[in-house]
Amino acid sequence: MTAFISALETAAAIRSGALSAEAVVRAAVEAALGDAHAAFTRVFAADAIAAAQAVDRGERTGPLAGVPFAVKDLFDVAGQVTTAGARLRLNAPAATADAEVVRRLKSAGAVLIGTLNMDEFAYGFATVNAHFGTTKNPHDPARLAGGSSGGSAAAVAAGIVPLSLGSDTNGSVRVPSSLCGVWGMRPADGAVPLSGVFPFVELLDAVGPFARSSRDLRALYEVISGEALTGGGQDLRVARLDGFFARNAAPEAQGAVDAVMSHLGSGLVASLPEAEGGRSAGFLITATMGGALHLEDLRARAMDYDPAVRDRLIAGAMLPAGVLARALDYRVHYRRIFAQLFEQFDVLVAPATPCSAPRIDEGTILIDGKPVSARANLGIYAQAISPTGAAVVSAPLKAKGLPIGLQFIARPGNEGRLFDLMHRLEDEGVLGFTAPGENA
Amino acid sequence: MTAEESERLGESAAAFLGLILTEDSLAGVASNLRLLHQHMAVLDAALDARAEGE
Repeated sequence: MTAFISALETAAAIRSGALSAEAVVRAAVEAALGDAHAAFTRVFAADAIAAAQAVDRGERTGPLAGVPFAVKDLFDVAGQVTTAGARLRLNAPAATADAEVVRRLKSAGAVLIGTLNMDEFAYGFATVNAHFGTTKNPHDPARLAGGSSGGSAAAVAAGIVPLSLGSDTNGSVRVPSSLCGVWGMRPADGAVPLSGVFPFVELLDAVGPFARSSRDLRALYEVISGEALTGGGQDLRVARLDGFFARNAAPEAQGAVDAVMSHLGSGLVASLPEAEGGRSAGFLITATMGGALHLEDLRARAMDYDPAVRDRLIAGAMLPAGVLARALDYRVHYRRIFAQLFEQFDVLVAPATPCSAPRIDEGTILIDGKPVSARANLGIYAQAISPTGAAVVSAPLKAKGLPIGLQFIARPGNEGRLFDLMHRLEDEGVLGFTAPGENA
Repeated sequence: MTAEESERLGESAAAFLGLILTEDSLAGVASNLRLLHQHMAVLDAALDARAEGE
């Protein structure tokens, strides 16, 4: 059994008896316990093996029966403290119930093996955590895995689990999926329940799946959303987003978009001059709402925060309410303008990140020719899409070298057709996961 | 917003919230305030452009 076997193949092998769930889960638990990437914060070995044994006895069934998965450490797991990556929360009361999406995955037979590292309180694009460590990129451990769902992306990229869950407020699924070369998704607003998920910015938070194939991603999305997707229909009108989404793109990011558009034979271009305003609106909504959420804890226990997160939250807490009001007002306008693009196009394409994974010891990337914090800026393209409420798949380009991902953006309700396109591009070799060590 | 202005604002923020921060943290707050100020300017320009378009 290869470490990179897909979730659907694993489930089929367990159903047929070719593999036992216990063997699969024991292998995942062993890999998680020996993880050198700082992807895992906790491993629930005994519970996971017991659940796998229940699958083998036929007591736990479902389309993902026996498939191991892990979740970002801001999903409630019954009996465990939800740390949200924060030392502040180590002694918080344990969750009394699983988050709804965790419950749905367990109901589908999947086996939870542990919780995954993240930027503290999800405020970052790097998974550099002062308390739990920096998650390393499985393709190059000297490089960032991205964030804030870095552990979720790294665990899948490293072959420890085939499926994981993260969250995406401004790009926290799309950024690590791009840097780690795995598939990820920011579902449309309201498509996946947030019950039992530690909040960051209520208006922008979304639960997001990770996988190593488009079909695994779709299967995971269907379980957590509760929706069986249907596709079909006429050929999709696929357009690249220009302007803001081409500025500051390193050659590998721009090249990824070029490669896909060339393969599709599409010269369609979609313009969104409001993108910079949309991104800033998202940035300010995040700063003000994040600061407000944490104000009481900042006043009582500021020094227990990760310093980088604390300083951002304090700054946000100082913004006047009028700034939030203006940002929210612009968001309404921006969503309307963005929705109009889907009158002409079915899928929009943009880089998921401005560059491939930066080195951990550098900490900066180039934006407008100036070095800026990677932690705050790896999500510039993703952050401009979050306020729109659209469905976004972050897909890895199939190529040599460090991974790079693209955003494929569709209007809510068109997820089935979006996935059809992803399957096609994966089957045709344009998109796809490359195992670490095989991309040199 | 100049560096000096953001530093004064950062110190005021800490005082207002009743926090005693290290110099490094005050510098971090100041840096983040400058960044937020830049985004506020972008948002203002976007809102002006929307108003002109209407």
